[in-house]
Amino acid sequence: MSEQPAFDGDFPALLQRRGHPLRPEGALSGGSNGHLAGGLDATRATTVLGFHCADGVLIAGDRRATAGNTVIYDRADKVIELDEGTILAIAGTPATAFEMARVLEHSFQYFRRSQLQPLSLEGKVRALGQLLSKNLPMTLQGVGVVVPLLAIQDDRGEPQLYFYDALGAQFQAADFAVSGSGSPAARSVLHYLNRWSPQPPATRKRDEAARLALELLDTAAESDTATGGVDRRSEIFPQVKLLGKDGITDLTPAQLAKLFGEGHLPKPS
Amino acid sequence: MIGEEPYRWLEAIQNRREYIEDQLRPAKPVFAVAGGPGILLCAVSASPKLFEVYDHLALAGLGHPADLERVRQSAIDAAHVEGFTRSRADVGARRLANYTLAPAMKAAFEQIFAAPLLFRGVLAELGETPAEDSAWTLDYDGSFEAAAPEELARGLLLSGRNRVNQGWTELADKPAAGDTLKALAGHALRALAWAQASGDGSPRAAWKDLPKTNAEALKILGTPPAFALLDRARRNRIAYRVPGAAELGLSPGKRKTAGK
Repeated sequence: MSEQPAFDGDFPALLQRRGHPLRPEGALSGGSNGHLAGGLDATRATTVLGFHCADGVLIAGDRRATAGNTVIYDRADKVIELDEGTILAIAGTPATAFEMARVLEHSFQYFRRSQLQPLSLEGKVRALGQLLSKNLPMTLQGVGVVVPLLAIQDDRGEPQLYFYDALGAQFQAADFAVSGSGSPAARSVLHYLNRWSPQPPATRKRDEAARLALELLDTAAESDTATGGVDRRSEIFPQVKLLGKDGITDLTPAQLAKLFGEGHLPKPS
Repeated sequence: MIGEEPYRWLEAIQNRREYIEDQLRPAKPVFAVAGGPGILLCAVSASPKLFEVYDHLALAGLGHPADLERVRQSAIDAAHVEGFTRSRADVGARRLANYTLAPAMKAAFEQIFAAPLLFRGVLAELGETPAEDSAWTLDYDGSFEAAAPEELARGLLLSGRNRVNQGWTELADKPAAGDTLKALAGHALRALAWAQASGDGSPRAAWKDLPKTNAEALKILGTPPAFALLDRARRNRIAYRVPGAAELGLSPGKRKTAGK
């Protein structure tokens, strides 16, 4: 109480005051040539996707983590619950992305506890944008790129979906959003279903939507070596979470195994 | 210079203590009690006195609202920085009370030319089991004390009047509150009503002298109290929540009648 507390609920600023800056000052001052490095795509090696379905917003991500062409981990969690009504899906450098998730988790709780009111939807969406824009020097060097998706309840509890670019710009997705190196394949399928399918993703119930997510990740993994897809032999399933009006539902591997099995065409006899 | 004369310094400190005790005297008490469902905090007050500090930490305090805010904010700041830079498991009431809050409060108390901190409170930490629950009482002069788990199960009463606090500590035959939320709430109500009814005296009372029923306790209290729970069922996430009247065994109808 000797120091005058700042009642602003700003957690990154609190870290700064307490000597834990998120980015040491002057540590990185932009890329050597200012260009996005050629290795950029490799650092976003993953697939995460989200789309509106009949029960809310479904968000999913594969589990593979790579370094160059080496698979270093096959149980990475890239779909992270930030609070009871917010899910972050990350594509990009894990070190930076997990740090961002931790900062956000604490920021939301810190604001809510210190100000005695929850941070608004706009505030949360913007908080992630600010972290991304602060990360610009790393992004320019091509070593710390993060391009996330955010599923979040608005002030009436309605689930909304946002996506970002690497510099922190935020966009609201009307139908779907994807990120990561395997995302072009998933994007094409989602676009096709959205435009031409008699049963667009937005009309599908939870289980059908979850099965679609598994199929999309499987499709992405077919052409992108950095996307894990569905590893049935080791029983490693992607993370699939549904954000509905009443909160987050985490689909279990058992549920996903059942759904993915059901979706298979019968073998020709 | 006052600081150079020990006697005058002692006198100033004594005056300061008297002034603070005077200011705290009319403050309505707060109560903390632990049991199976978690730690229940209770306060009878128009202004907020029960606060969430961290996932498993809560603060109940009395005093000047602005000073309560300062203590609360300091606790929240320290807990969040620690939880972020280390981990949730490293955030605890003991370190927070002993190393962050108490030294700052002692420093504030001894700065005799600055306005004193009008605060008395308890910082509660929810454990995996009732035996692992802990609570630290903190006073305006920076003194602090841990409550033993069995003491916390019987409840901690903090009022603005030292004789009432003393009376509660010495109250004979105090039982543990119990293992249901309703039992915890009833225990808290009876204790708070007793504190309110005992005025400035030092009653040499026993548990049997307390109001017997919730209705009786609510009638003495006048205003319906505020409750907060560190919920053991949510120990691994955010444990703090405000329980509903029905869970506490206090139907809204009863509270309304009692409030008249």
